[in-house]
Amino acid sequence: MYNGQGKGAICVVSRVYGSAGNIEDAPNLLFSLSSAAGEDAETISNSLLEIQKRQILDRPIYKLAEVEASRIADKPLPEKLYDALARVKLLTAQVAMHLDTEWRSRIFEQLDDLLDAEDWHEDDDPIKASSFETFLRMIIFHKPSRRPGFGVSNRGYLIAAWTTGSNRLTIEFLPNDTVRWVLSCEFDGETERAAGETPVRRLMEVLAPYSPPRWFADAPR
Amino acid sequence: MRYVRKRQLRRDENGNVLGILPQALELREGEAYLSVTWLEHFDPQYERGLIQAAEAIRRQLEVRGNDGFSTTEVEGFCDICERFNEKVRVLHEPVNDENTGHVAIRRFPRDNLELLDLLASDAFVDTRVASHVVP
Repeated sequence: MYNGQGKGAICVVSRVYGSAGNIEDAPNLLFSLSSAAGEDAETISNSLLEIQKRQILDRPIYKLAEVEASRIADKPLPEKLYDALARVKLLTAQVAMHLDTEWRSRIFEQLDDLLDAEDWHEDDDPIKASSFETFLRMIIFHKPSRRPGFGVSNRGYLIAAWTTGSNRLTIEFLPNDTVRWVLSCEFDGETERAAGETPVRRLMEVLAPYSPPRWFADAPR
Repeated sequence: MRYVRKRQLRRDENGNVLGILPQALELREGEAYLSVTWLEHFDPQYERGLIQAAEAIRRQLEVRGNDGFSTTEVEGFCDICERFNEKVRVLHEPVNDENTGHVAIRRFPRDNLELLDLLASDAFVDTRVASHVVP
């Protein structure tokens, strides 16, 4: 349907996922977890997992998008959106081992809807891959169990919004692992508001006074 | 009434529209004012004015079915801006014959995300998907 670039990206995604969701061909970003048995096995495993998380924050996700970015500017909008969707799915595939399968599947559905060409205008900027990389780091490191609603800013940066009643958290994912956030939440009938710009690794620390589970935790069943 | 593209509507995780994102009120580079449309210019009755304002916007811009229209009262909007010491000016400025109800909100601040978030949630309280706003 489109030229080789978009088709090639989709072929790579298909190869990565395979028929059973395996990711044998994805770049192996991390060393293996300890397989030690015994009383300390869980402690060792958790410690290794924390080290791996920090490595994820320090190591660039493969910058496929930067290689492609210079070529997309003159493409028609449907092709730009198609390529943008392929890029974000490929980026996600590279870290799929850190994401719950159902969570990932639902996020993809949301992105399919968000990047539907019928809803976009010629002067819109699709999601920048550098922004999506920041989002992935946030999701992997901070692991919100509740999915957000998505949007895109005028600059092409992904926006994730968590809303529970009058409690709102909106995060705009900038390049270079920076997030721009604004929140509103109720404490004892009074509303507190705050906004800031923060490295993604410090996001939970910054949000801690506002009780982030109010946004990130699933509703009790 | 503010026209909001689909990608700047506030949604929950299931895609339900909850309102507008604060970024829907951000001025783009080079924009000198925030564009809105005045309902009472078309009809003093709220629902009729809303529909006609939407039609005017459709004449002026390319509106897709999943885009949105979000409406605020001028007084409430200005009150919130005042709380942040922002003295905006709401001026009726028809730009062409297609939308004679066009209003420019001048001296609107850039980069005050807290203000934009409060306006998005507490001022623009009536948000509707464009395909639902028809004569």
